[in-house]
Amino acid sequence: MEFVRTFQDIFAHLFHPRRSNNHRARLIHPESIFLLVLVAGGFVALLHLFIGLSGPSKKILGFASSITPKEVIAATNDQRSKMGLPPLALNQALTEAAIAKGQDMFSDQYWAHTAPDGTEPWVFMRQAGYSYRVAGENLARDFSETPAMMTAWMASPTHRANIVNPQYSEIGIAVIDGVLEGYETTLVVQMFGAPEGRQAAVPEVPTVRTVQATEPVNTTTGLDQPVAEKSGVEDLAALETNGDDEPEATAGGEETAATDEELVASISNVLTQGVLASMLVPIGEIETPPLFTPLQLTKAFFLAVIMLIILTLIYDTFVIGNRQSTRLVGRNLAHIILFLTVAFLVVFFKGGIVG
Amino acid sequence: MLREFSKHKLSYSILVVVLLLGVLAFLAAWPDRASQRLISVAIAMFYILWGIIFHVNIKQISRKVVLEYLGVGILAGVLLVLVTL
Repeated sequence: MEFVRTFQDIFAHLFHPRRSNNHRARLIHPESIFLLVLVAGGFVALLHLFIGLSGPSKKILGFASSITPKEVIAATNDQRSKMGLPPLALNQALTEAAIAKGQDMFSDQYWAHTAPDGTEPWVFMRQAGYSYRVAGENLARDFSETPAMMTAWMASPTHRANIVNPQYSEIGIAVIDGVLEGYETTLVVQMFGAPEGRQAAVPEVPTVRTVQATEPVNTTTGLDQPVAEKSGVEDLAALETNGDDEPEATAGGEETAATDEELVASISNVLTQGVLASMLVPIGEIETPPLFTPLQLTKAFFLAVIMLIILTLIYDTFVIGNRQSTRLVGRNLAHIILFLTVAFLVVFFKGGIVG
Repeated sequence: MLREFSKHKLSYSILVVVLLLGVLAFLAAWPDRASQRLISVAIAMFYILWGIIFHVNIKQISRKVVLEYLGVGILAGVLLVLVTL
């Protein structure tokens, strides 16, 4: 009974304006507010400590956020260097295209290279202002670590072909958190390209060529790329590059004199083989989705703190309003407006890191 | 609360408009988290300044009031910065 009375007293002291708290809920005194700053900082520190200690195999938190664009680029270039290929340079326009693609998948709730409305990955590249000679896209989701994701990509022939494609010189990466098909996940969008008007320095890598020549062409992505949209000069450049350096890549057709029609067909073929859209990595094969992400937990905790403060401020306003007493304190209405703004930003803050 | 708002229309309008601009800037800055953190700090600093200027204008300033706005502003800024980590 004594315990209940003590608890009631503490509760009233914290939330109810009375003499013991100088007629202002203790929770909204400056000292308590500063204490809440420490509590919020401590929560985030503990959360990150827990993530670090528990390791990536646990299924409680969303460890997918440990993937960073920097790591993905490094791992990609590592694979290329093993094949004797030059590293890919990070391109801002390709990165913007990758971000746009990731956002589009979250907003339209799909998981595919082609959007439900038929939008191809290349549309995002063009919208980002990236003019390409050849381009490709890899996707991944639900991975906790970059090495595991890279291993899965390299195990898939079409993904591997993109990563070690000697024609590509640039890359764009997006690592985006969001809710897809009912739970929060991390999407990784990898976009490759070789800019128009620049000859790719294709080194002699026979194994890569074999992969390209024998790889079944994804006709959807390749043939839907309208040849008419590209200028003749750039198409010829693509054809010449392949004709000189990779005769087997264009050897699928008959060997006849190059009429205009055949030239267009050859160009289409070359572009098709350059645009290697990849297979999707099945979710189940990779990892069970985590229960929570660190971002979700942080948001939930912060919103709880904010709501507690807002409710206390509202209660304090009404109690003091009824008493018709005057206090020399900050304005509750202003505090409420500020904390509502913060709550809005916390709710609508989008995770994901790009670089 | 409505009485309080109508009593200081100009001050609260400035507060609401600047916070709305802050929200728009914060959302537009995505995915640049560094910019979002800067905007968070700017929002917090603006609020502290707004509070002090408001209380100076109505001649109800005290050390405790300044501390209160400092605390509330810092808490808001810290929450926004931490969520972007």
